[in-house]
Amino acid sequence: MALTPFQLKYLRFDLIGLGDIKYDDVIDELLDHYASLTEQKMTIGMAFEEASKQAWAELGAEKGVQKIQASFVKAIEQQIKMQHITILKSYFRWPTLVTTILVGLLVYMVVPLIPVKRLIVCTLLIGVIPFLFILRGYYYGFHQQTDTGKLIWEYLLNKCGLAVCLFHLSLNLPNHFLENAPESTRTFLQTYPTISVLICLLLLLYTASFIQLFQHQYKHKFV
Amino acid sequence: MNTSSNSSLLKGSLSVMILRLLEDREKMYGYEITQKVKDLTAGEMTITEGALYPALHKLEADGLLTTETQIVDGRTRKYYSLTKTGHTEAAGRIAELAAFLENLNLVLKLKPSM
Repeated sequence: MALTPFQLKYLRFDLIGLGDIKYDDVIDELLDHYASLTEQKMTIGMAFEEASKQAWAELGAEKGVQKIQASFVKAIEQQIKMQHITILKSYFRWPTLVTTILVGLLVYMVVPLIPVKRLIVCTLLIGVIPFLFILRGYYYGFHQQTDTGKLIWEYLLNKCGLAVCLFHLSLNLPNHFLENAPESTRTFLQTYPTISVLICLLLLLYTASFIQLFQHQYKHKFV
Repeated sequence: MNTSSNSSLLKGSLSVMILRLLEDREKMYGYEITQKVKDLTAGEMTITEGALYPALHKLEADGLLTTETQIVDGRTRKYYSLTKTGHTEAAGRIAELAAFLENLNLVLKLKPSM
């Protein structure tokens, strides 16, 4: 006995409203289980209301479904972490490693030829772009999404992506906007331009790893 | 599980049970797994949803299971199946548990010494 769309909506409401289930993947999986349990009880003559009530209790009610959601979050976080490590490792593999070294060498040779003022603007831009990327993600991903993309943004924030950008901005902003910028920062950039650009490159690589991570869909394939 | 003692006894073997069931079938969904265990044990053993799904999610995160979804009766059904690693791991874990049970049985069948 298949449930009607209205009855399925009723069960979905229980999961979202009572169970506080936030992720679409968990809702889909639990809805199917909840509906199957309800249908089973209806086949032995129970009314929908009574059957769903018993099925809800069998699912463990609010606490039970929240525990299942927590296990889902933990599992996805584990997958994200593993995927991120794989991505980061891939940057240091042949031939990516050779490319990275060659780019670094090029930077080392070119940087001394760039006027300090322009170098500061460049490093500022490199710092701003990942920062904007994280802000956009924070807004759209963290606050709006109900899929696993939200978990990736949580992971990103937890991994101090935002802190890295803020640190970078704090290093660069005074140099660009203030007349009497902190002399030590300016001296650092003038004395060690290659180091500062290498920091920017690493920052970009770190950001790129998150872009790649986000492109990896933690959704289930439909058949 | 049925009782608290059953629950603790089966906690460690739940993932092996899931792997064994999936080794037998190409793919299964959560509810189907609970019913299969119930049928196989004539209702003696029941897996609660609170134990089943965390175990499934863990196995998936470990790369032993893969999932696909299908629309059935107006709702999304998530099927689990073994990955290549899952097949290898399943064989190892089943053999390990079987050996453990065999040894446990020897101890449990110990005759009182005269």
